[in-house]
Amino acid sequence: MIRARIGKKIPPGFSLDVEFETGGGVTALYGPRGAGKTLILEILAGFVRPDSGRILCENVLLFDADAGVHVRTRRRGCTYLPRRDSLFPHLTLRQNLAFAARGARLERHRQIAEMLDRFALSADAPRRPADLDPALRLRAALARALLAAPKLLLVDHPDFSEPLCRQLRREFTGPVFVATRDLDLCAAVAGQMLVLEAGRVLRQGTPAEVLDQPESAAVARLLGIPNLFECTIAGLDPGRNSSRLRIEIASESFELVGPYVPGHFRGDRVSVAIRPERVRVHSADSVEVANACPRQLSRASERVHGVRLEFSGGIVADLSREEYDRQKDNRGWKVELPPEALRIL
Amino acid sequence: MGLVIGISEPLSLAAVSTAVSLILGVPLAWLLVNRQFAGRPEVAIIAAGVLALPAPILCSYFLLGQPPLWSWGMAGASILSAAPLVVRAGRAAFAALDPLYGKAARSLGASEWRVLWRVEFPLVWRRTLAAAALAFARVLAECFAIVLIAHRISR
Repeated sequence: MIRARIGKKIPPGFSLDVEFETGGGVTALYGPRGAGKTLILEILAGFVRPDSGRILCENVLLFDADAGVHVRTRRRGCTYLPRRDSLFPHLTLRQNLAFAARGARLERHRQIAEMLDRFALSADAPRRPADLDPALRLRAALARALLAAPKLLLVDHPDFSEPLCRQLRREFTGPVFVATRDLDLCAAVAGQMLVLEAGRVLRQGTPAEVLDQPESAAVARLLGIPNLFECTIAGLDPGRNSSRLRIEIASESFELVGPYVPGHFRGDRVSVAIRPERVRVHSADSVEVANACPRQLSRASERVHGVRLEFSGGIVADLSREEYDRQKDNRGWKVELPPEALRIL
Repeated sequence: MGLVIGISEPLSLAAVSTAVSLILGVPLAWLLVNRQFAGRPEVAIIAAGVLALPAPILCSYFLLGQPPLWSWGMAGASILSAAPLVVRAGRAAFAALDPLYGKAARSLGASEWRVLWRVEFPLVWRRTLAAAALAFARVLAECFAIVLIAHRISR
């Protein structure tokens, strides 16, 4: 378990102020450039000394500003995989791995051979990093990191992918921190996710929780939810666990039925978000459905997993290719925002 | 015979002073780049400022009353002449090195000495060696000048 409270000022104008507690699995630090992801990893690794706070890793105190404790990098057991290639260029792959290996000579040789084999690097062991392709270099850097038997693994490499992470989890069961801007990677491999912006943790939870309940408009924006609208609470019905929301899109006002909004009153302004894949589209002449309004299609663009439709007023819907093929000849469009998919922020 | 002595003494003095400069200068250059310690700016200024001394070996030769080339005074002066070049080049080389190699090595549990010796020095040795060659040439040139002047004075 990692428990950290970190304060650090980096002139001019950036300050990190975060507090988090994570379990033993993969923790994703998600956020835009300049959010403080790398700085958190560098602080955990011991390269940067925070101004205030406390860091505990598996009940071992690594840093305590009040007590003046700052365990040096080499004694922390926090292995760091930087964002660029970090294999030593003057050493061969085998020598790079040997640099991290511990124990008696025979034991080291056994460990290195085993690791080369596990990461399918044996054939390239006598080659230098410059002769290898980037994917292989990353695999080798990971193998080297694991040979150091870390207590905590810190990954800041942008090419760190889902398959590599799955391989890593087969070899290493300890806690891993991954700095990433890839939401798919967070959802696929992380047990915990920290959404960061400008040196602050905006949201923490499992990826499913964070994606389903962004909790604030800022987090929704960071998660790339394009359907984010301001609205006014027109009515609250705690008995039916529902609310009526007056929403204004493109100078046109209409009412939506949404979930009950605890802690708010009629007339309050709130933000409402809906993921584009949860938006449903119908033909304009289809039967009347709740929370649907006629919209004009402004653009349809191809995506990896389907087609994105952009409607007037900025409503975005992601459809599967089959669904789009079925509906593409619609003369007019009606966009439905299902009440169960609306998130009040 | 006199000519052989005249060549071998400056050569050996230059070789020894260059070797000592490397042994002392490279770790000092690494410390100046990688460590914050009390007196660091002063050490950096002194290391660079010695370069401005006009011909330290030649000056020492006359200030110390024309001692033989192989003496403590002359050895010190030749190190003073060679070391700043090594420190200066070493500082530039270590500063130009990507810090992530050092970070990766430390996070793998390597000691500072191991980081310097196994990771960073092998990456900068070419530049340091070029500076050492320059230092060797500087000491040699001054020593030859002394040999010529001493020869002239003796006649």
